[in-house]
Amino acid sequence: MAATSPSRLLDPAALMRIRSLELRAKVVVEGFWSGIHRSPYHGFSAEFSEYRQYAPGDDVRHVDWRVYARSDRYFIKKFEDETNLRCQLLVDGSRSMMFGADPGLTKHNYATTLAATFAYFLSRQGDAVGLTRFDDGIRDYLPAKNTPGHLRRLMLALEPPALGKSTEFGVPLARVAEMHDRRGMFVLLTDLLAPIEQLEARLGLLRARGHEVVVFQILDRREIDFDFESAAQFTDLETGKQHFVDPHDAREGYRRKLTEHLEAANALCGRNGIDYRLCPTDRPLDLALYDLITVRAHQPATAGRANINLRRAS
Amino acid sequence: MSLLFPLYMFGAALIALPIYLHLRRKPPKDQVEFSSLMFLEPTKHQPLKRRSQLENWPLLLLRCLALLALAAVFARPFLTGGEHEGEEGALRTVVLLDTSASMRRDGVWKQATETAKELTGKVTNTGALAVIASDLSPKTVFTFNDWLDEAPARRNDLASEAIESLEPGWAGTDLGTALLAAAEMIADASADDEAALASEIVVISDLQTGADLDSVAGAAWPDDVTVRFVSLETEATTNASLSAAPAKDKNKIAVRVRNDPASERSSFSVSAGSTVQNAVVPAGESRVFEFEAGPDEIVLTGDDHAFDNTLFVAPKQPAPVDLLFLGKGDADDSNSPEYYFRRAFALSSVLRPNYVESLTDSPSIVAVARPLASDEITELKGAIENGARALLVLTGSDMARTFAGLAGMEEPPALNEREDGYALLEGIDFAHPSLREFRDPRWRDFTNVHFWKNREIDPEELPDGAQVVANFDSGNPAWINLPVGEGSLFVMASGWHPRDSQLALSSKFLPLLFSIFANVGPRVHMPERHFVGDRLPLEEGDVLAGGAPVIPNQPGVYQTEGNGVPRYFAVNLRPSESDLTPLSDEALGTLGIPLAGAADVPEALTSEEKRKLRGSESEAQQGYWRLVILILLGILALESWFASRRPEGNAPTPNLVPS
Repeated sequence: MAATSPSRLLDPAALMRIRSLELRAKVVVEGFWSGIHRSPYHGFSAEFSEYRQYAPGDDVRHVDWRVYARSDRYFIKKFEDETNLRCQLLVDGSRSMMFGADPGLTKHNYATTLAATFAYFLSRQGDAVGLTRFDDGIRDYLPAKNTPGHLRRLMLALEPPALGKSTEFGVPLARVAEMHDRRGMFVLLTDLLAPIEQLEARLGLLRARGHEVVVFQILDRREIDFDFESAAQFTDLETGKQHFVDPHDAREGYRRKLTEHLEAANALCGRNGIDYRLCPTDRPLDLALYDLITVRAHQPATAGRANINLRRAS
Repeated sequence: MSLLFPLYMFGAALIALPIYLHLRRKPPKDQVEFSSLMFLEPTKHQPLKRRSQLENWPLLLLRCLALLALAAVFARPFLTGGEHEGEEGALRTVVLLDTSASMRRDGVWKQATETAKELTGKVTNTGALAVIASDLSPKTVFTFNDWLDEAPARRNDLASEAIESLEPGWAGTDLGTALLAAAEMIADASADDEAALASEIVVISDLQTGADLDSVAGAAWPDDVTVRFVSLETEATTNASLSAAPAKDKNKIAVRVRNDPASERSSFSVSAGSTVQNAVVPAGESRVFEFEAGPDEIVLTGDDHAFDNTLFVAPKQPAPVDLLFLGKGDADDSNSPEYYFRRAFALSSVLRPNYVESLTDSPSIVAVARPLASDEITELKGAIENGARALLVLTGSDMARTFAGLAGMEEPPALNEREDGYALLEGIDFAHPSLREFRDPRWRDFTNVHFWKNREIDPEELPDGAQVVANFDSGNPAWINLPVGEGSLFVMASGWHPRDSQLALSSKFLPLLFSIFANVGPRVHMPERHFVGDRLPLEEGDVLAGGAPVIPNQPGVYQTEGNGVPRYFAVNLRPSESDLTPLSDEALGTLGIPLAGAADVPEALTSEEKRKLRGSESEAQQGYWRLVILILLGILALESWFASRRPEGNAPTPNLVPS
């Protein structure tokens, strides 16, 4: 697939050098777009959904009069707008997200860029995108919309650094679930570096309400490999607690525990029909975007589920 | 090898510190921020490394060595078993006993003799002892030979007797000369003797600031000589002294009362005859008090030490001076130069002129204003060559031969008369001693002195060494100073009498004449001060009444007899004797004297103390601690060098970016 060919993928570190979040998202999406559309001018059915025979009760405004002129039949022209996706991006705003072996490429940077990319992509599609930033509570909330200035507000809301003192999934997710009764899609961007016991219940709640849920776990490569060399005082970014740690002694235990944690998270998602992706911050963002689309394609359809007009490149 | 202060070697235990520091595993100061510690187990810190992990062992070694060397510096190592070991007392000892007037203070002399006798008792049979008494000049009272020639059993008594026979005099202190004499005595004894004994000079003195030690500075000392100062002190510190001071009123006598800086009291009384004045003088200051002339003795009371409380005052009398004026004309004629000369040097309260008739009477002031005969020229020139000072006034051209003869010129100069208008002085050399009195700008103006007549002298013809101290405005020399042999001749090209010039009528005349003869004749402008131990300036034929010695050995008023009018000399104590502040150790140290130790009062020493004293002397001589300091500096330099090129192992900043 052309879009995933290594030469065309964007190096996240290089991408993060672009200061504007919006521009970054644009770069990812345009590249992606040009990858999935062999020809950008191919047809115009992108906005058009289907024709349906007029039935009494339909809005007369939707009758396609040209078709009537040609065929003398009443047809209703259905547009995708009607069935647009409502996507809520849930971005973890705790301080642990500020970690990054490369100070320019923190998990926060990666997560916000990814969120911006999704938002840009989806709003270009005509979908409504909203944003929720949380740590141990909801810090920022933008309802899903697709109005002209909305994307810009969303980008601005993504800009501030993550300063939350701890990560708590219970309260924010429960609150989000309460606020959204219309079915939609929830994309959770987090490092999941918190106890995940409550996560299952909350995500299950979302699923039960008919929402689609995708979890992107964003981790720094250093968090995965724990390749520190010399002993030092390790400070917890969220709690400020300090431990003296000799990496040589601690590495094995760390890796084991982390693997257990990741496996638990993966299993949790699998049980609840939630799509789970591990995203190290050195993973090109195009791939993450691609993941989102494939998730959409593969996820089992739920009754009455909104149809998003995403096409896979053939 | 022994240690002077072995306790300091406990400081060597400090080497545990670098050993611990090298073994210690430093808790890392680096801080790493990490997203979450939830998967991290804290590592237990190991405070010490295993021995095999010891890094930088050369550095550790150097640091330990440096600490050991430091401890050694403080412990002062020295080698025992040197030449003095086991031969205690095998010393040549010179006891230098101060007999100056300041030793008359209460109890000081007793202390001095006791200390001296104690020292003689310590000299062993192999050693030798000499005693020198010193005030202004050293006097050997007991020589090494006196000691060695006597039977060992008697030596001590003999030396003690010699010491007891001494008593403090009234003279000043010149310890420097005495020290050099003692050193010379030791050098002589060492030259005679093949056994190289160590020598010690023990100075028993009050070591007052007035003790003159200047002559010692920079002196070369024989090897193996050490000097020990035994400083004697008294409890009583209040001392005031009297000295003569210039009186404002010439009919009065003035005394300066000086109070020692260490004094505790400041109120004294000064009595002259029946007059008593209260003198309040703060410590360290001096005040002048005036009394009516008359009494020959002024006495101060109220301080602790009486030795310097009496000031003798000689009755005021004009100083006699012999003058000779060789001139033409009548001495009473106001047109002759002699008229003015005689009035310049007339009888006054300070001067008693005695005009003599010829050079054979050896006058101290000679002025010539007429042509001399050849025998007179020869005679006067001989006198000048022997150091006399003469004034030659060229009153006419006929004095050319006299001038040439006295100045030693081969050809007599022309000496043409000049009387065109008048001449003024210019180019006056105020730096010349004869004109120095006029140096002040207020007295420099000679323009109101007109010279009607003068005699031309060609400066080219003057002999070598002649110094023109003033010129006429015509360019010819007016006043010339001519050195002749050891003496000198002052030549004036014009007279001072009214026929020649206005000089005699000017206010410059008297100062000029007196300053021309400033260095000959009596010093009338300074009060005569004579001190015990100085030769009195008696005139030929004078003897002192009562057969007193010409070099007086005690203060008092001395009177001459036999030769005309009696003269009086007030002989007093040297003022430096009253300067009782003890010399500081620093002052002694700067003189380059090979000191044996601090100046102190010796006490009965136990054998342990003796051993310590010997140790400290050996240590002071060997001075190994200096060598150890050098070694220490070397080690530290090496340590710095090693430390600067340590491997990267302890680099403080780990690379945080993963490869």
